[in-house]
Parts: sequence; structure tokens; C-alpha cells
Amino acid sequence: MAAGSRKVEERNERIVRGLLKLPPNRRCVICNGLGPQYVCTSFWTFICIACSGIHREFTHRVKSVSMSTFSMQEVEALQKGGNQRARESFLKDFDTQKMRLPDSSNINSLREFIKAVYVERRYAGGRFSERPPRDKQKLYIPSMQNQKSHEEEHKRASSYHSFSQSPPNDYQYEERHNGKQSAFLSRKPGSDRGHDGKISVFSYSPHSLHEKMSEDGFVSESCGSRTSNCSGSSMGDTVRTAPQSPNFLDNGCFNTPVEQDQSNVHTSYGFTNSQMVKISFSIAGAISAGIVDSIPTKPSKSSLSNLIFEDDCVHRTQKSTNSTPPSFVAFSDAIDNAKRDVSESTAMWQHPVNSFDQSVDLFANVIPVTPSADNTLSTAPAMDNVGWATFDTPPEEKQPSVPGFSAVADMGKDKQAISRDLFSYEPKDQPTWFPISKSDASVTSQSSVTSLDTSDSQVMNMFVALHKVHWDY
Amino acid sequence: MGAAIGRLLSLSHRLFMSMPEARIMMLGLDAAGKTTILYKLKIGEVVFTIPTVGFNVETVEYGNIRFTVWDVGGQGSLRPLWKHYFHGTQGLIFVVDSTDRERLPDARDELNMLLNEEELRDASLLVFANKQDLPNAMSAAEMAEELGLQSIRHRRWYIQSGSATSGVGLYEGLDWLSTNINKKVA
Repeated sequence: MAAGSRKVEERNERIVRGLLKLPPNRRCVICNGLGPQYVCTSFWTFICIACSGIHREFTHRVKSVSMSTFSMQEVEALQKGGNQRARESFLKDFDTQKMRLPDSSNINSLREFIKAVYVERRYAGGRFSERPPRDKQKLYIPSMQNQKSHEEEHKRASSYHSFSQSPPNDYQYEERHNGKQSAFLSRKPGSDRGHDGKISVFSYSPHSLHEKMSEDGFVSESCGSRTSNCSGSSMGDTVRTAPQSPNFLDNGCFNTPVEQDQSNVHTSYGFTNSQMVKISFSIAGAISAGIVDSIPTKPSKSSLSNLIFEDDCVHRTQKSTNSTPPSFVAFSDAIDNAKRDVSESTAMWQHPVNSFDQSVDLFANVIPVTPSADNTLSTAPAMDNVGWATFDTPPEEKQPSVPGFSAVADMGKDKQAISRDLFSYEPKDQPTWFPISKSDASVTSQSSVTSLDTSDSQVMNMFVALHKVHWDY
Repeated sequence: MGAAIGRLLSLSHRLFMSMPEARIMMLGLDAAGKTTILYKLKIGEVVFTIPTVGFNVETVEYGNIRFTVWDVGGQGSLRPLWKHYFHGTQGLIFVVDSTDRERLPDARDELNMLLNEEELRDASLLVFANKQDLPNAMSAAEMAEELGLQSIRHRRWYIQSGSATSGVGLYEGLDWLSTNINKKVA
């Protein structure tokens, strides 16, 4: 049995190594570096170790060819996949005349590239709806999880209701909610769960964003994010509301400059104009798309309820946030006020983080603002990071850990960390997943041999050597 | 000359202001977040990491203890090499990706293997349920169940959920370790 499985492993490794020799796989699909030694099992591409590190930041799964074993299914998927296929689908609309491939020596440029191509799928053309295998973690839904998803859905809904303090919001929420339900049914369970709860966080975007955002930026963003958001599945609600805001449609999306900036340019490629019309243009729909896009990927569990119940954490987080009134007031207005809303809510598009699997429009305008809530609300982004620990689960499965918060790493730095979770509130022109300054402190400068892309035997030798060092140590 | 004085100073520092030391192994499957945790503890920042081939080691002073934290690569064929680092280990931080349901059984197997290691007999176990900031993360309770922590005998263990990128939970974990390991005075 063991021998048999080893045989299979060896065979699989041979196949994978054979695939590595195919011309398209001889170079990293991201940075074009020679001799990739890693496989991104989220997209079945061959990548170098550095790019595998970036992929990991986006929760994509990576595997080393030499240091892991591949199952039959994985080998088959790799045979069907590979760099050429990935280019065909993910870079379908990538115009090498107009657009540059990333600078392979610049980690931030590579990160942006991966984000645009594999996370937002800006160049995937019409194939956006037929999603190649995403994170296996997200496809893997144990039965328990399915149950839970229903519970969570329910929980979320009720918590939203508890927040809906003004009738118009209730109304809009219901509308979105209905729209979203259908979206839910039409996609893989779990693939988009978890983002929606985060509207709360999003809504607290500091005032500074508001000020910095230009109308232009908003307009194009709203289009872009909408279209690239694979919103076919959530079309129901947008189509329904579309007729109510023709003005926005005209002023907004068709003014989109095609080449405005890197984050905006390619987002609408996959659509014909008529599709865009259908999909994008109620103000509510567009705004919600923007919102959803800006929502950090966070556990759905830590939903709105965190905001309320975690007052005790607030003091820890205040320094990292602005306590200006949240800008989501804009969303509480009726659709008729579309244009005003647009200008008020431009801040929302500061970070066009289009996670294509977030189609949770319904949470767009859920949260009414009350002045008294400002303080709590404005501290929410950082708080949210704390919050999961205690309040994200039903009482009966409250986690045994996180006893108090006395000794937590200083929260000032959390702000940086948070940006990795997609909800960076720092007003920047380009959204960053990751604090740029940090990327300089890369592992390659560390004490070990981490940056070496070595063969098996070399690795072994190194370990022997290193472990001798450690005895001396 | 300067180096010699420096060494002398550090020696005297060690002699007269001795700080308890603890040797900590940080293990777990690949992409669990071990290296990110290590450098979050060490420099307080989220560094860009690539899969660790080999190890990283840093000392972290916290709560009057000098932790020497070893972070060893967790990819499949590197795991058999973990055992070379066990000697003298007082604390084991087992890092688990809370969103990786699929490989949780693997994590469980690896953990069980570690717990059966003679050299780790006296090591306290801290399980760090990492990546709680991501959607779909399992709760610590759920993970304790899946990892079979309840059935651990003759060992102090604790599960701490948190997020290496935000730093949440890291120091709580070290707090627990510092009170639950057999410190040796250097």
C-alpha cells in the first residue's frame, strides 16, 4: 500500500516535471522568470517561488514541485491547465500593445498584476463567469459548513434588520436582499460567503477618503467594478432598479475613460455596451457594487453585530481611525437622489478591490447612521480585526482563547496589517493589498536559506548543515 | 576591540541580568503563516514572505522571557526534517490555517506525530488558529475539535485564535506560553 502510493507519487512527480519542460511552463507565468518550481493550485499555473509568495497573500494555494506530492487529480488538472491555458483565459483581453507586463523585479508591480489578473480577472474577457477552480478551500464545503451557511445567512439577515433604523433603508435592503438570494443560489456555496458581512467595516471609511476621491475616479470605478464583478449572477436586482436611474447611466458609465488608469482601464472589457447597460446602472446597483468591491474579505461571522457589542474594544483601536462621520450616509437615500449620492460617495471607490466573487449588493445601503453611533462606527475597521475573536461565533461556540486584550501587539501597526485584508483605509491612489514599505523587509534578507529555489538534494544538504548550526546555537 | 567590549558587555549582561530563555519550535503545514508570525513578533511588521525552505530563527523578548523561536519550513518533504530541531524544545507553537478545511486532517496528523515525539515530551503545546481575519475561518473551538486537541493527555495545551497579519492573538499566545513552559535560567 505504502509502496504503491509512493509509486504513484513518483509517477505523478515525473509527470509534473515533464509538464515543467513544456515551453510555456518553462517560465513563471507571472514574472516570466526562468525555471518555475512552484505550482499555483488555484489556477494550475507554474510560478517561481517569489511569485508563489505573492499568490499566497491572496490566499491562493501554492505547492512546490520538489517539496510536495501531487495527487492524481492535481496532476490531471495541471495537465489540463498550465501556463498557456492560464494565459488564454486570464490574459485573454490583455493587450500587450497598450499594457505592460509587470516589472519582474518589483514585488509591488507583480502583486498588482496578480491582483488584476487573477483576483479581479480584468483581462479574462467573457470567461469571467466560467470560473476556473478557485481556492480549493473555498470549493471545499463540508456538510457542516453548508448547514452553517444557512445559519449565517439567517443570522446576517437578522442582524441587518436590527440595524435598519430608517424605513427607506429597510426597503432598499429588502430589495437587495432578494436580489442577492438568487445570486447565492446560482453560485458555488461558500465561494462568496463571508464578504457580505463586512459591509459594516466598509461603511466606516474615514472622511479622508472622501475628500481625496475625484468624481472621475468614482465614475469609472463604479463602472469598472461593476462589470468586472461578474455580476451576472446578481443581475436580478440591478436590472430591476436600472430604469430608475437613467441619468446615472449616461453620466457615469459611458463616460468611462478607457485608459484612465491602471486600476480602471480594463475592467469593462468583458462586456458589450448593452450588457453594461443591463448590468450596471441603477445608482443603487452601482453604488452597491462599489461597496461590495471595497468590502474587505473578512469572515462573514464577524458581521455587524461586532460593531455593537464590542464597545469594550474600541479604546484600543481609536488611534488608527478617524472619527469623522462615516460617508455611507450617501447610501441611505433613495434612488432618485442618484447623482447627489454619487458625489457623496465617491470615497467608496478609493479602493477598487474587485473581488469577483463578491456580489452581495444587498448590503449596500443597509446601515443607517445615527450620530451616536459615530464613535463606534469609526473605530470599526481596526476593531473588526479584534472582533472575530470573541463575537463572531454563536455563543455556544465561543472561542476559548483571546482572554482580554491587554497585551495585543500595538494596534497602530494593525492599520498596516489591515490593508492586507483588503480594507485599507489609507487614502492612496492605488489600492494596495499590502503595505508597500513592508515588502522591502522580505524574507530573502533573513537568516536562513528561504529564498533559494533549490533541488531536493540541495535542500537536504542545507538542512543538515543548518541543523548542525543549530546544535551549536 | 569594540567587538570585544561588546561581547564582554553582553556577557556581563547575561551573567548579571539573566533572563529566562525558552526554546520554541513553530511548526505547521506550509502556508499556515509561521514566518509571518515570526516576523510580526520580531519586528512588528507584516513582511513579504516566500515559502520557507529551511528555517528562520529569531529571539523575541516578551514578558521577561527571551524566546528563541524556530520557524521551520512546512512543505511536505520538509516535515520529516522537523525532528532535527526538537532537542531542548520547551514550547511548540503549532500554526494552523483556519481557512484551510481541506488540509486540516493533514495538520492533525502532523500534530499527532509531533506529540508522539520523545524529544517534545515536555514541550507545552500552543495551537495558533491563524488567519481568522479571512472569510470562512473556522473558530478556535471548531478547530480544537477537528484537531482532536481534547484527547491530548499529559501535556499542557492551549488553542489561540488570531491573525498574524494584524497581530491579534499573538501576544496572548506568548502570554500563555510564558506561564506554561518550564523556563530555564540562562
